[in-house]
Amino acid sequence: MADPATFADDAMPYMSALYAAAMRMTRNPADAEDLVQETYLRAYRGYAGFREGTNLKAWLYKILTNTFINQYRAKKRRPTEAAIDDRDDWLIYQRVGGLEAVDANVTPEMEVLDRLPDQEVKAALESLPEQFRIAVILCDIEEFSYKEIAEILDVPIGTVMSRIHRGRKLLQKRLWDYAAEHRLLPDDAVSVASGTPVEAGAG
Amino acid sequence: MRPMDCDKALFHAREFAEGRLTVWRHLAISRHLDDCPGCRQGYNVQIHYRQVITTKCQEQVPAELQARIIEALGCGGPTLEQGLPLDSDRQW
Repeated sequence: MADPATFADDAMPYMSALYAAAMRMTRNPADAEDLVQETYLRAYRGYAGFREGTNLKAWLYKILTNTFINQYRAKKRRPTEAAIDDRDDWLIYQRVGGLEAVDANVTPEMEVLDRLPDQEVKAALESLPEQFRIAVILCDIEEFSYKEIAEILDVPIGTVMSRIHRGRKLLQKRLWDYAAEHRLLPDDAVSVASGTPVEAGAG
Repeated sequence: MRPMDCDKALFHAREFAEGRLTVWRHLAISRHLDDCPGCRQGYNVQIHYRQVITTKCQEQVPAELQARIIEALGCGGPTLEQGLPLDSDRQW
């Protein structure tokens, strides 16, 4: 059995990040707490076999993710998530500003992002389909490399990038829709945001 | 080498900034940014997006959860009142 003191020293610093990820995955504090506790117990039990020099943070996230997928997803029995429209080829940068703002240090898009309330950003992330949500959490928040995420999720790197790509676009679209609804956009962007995206037109 | 399109160039923005891409992919994005003013702007936005998401999605760990985990790990008893075990106050 692993030495409790060593394990605590090594693993406890990640609790805050693991809890935040668990909150986004389970979408409620009670399940998030249980998920983090279960993750630490499993990690502790497996710590003796953990090889020094390998990536402890990635290992903890692998346990967290697997536990979530195997336990909490099964428990919730969520319906199949709605398919994503591949034509919805959207990124924030395509909506505001323009070439006149090129190379500016702060663009209108950045100001819009800054104005979004924390709670809305969390809600938008939590609203993503599970596979995309987990990929975005691991890449955009936890800053794992594509390779590390592939190992955590046990899927090919191409699949990882596809999930991040689609999840990120969907998240940015939802953040932008919120900003448009709540009049957080700069004046010159409102007319664009309220119209039909060119990319997602009649086709 | 296949030319890099805008979508791919922006997708890898942070990895590009941190030098974490393969050499060929890094070069392809670098060339693309040289030729594409729109992506030079979008690039900064994508970097900023990730900073915003990270900052706004933080959570405070409940103290009770920390205590529960310490206790569940069986780290030697009287840790409930002590919070997280730190080098300075480790008791076991």
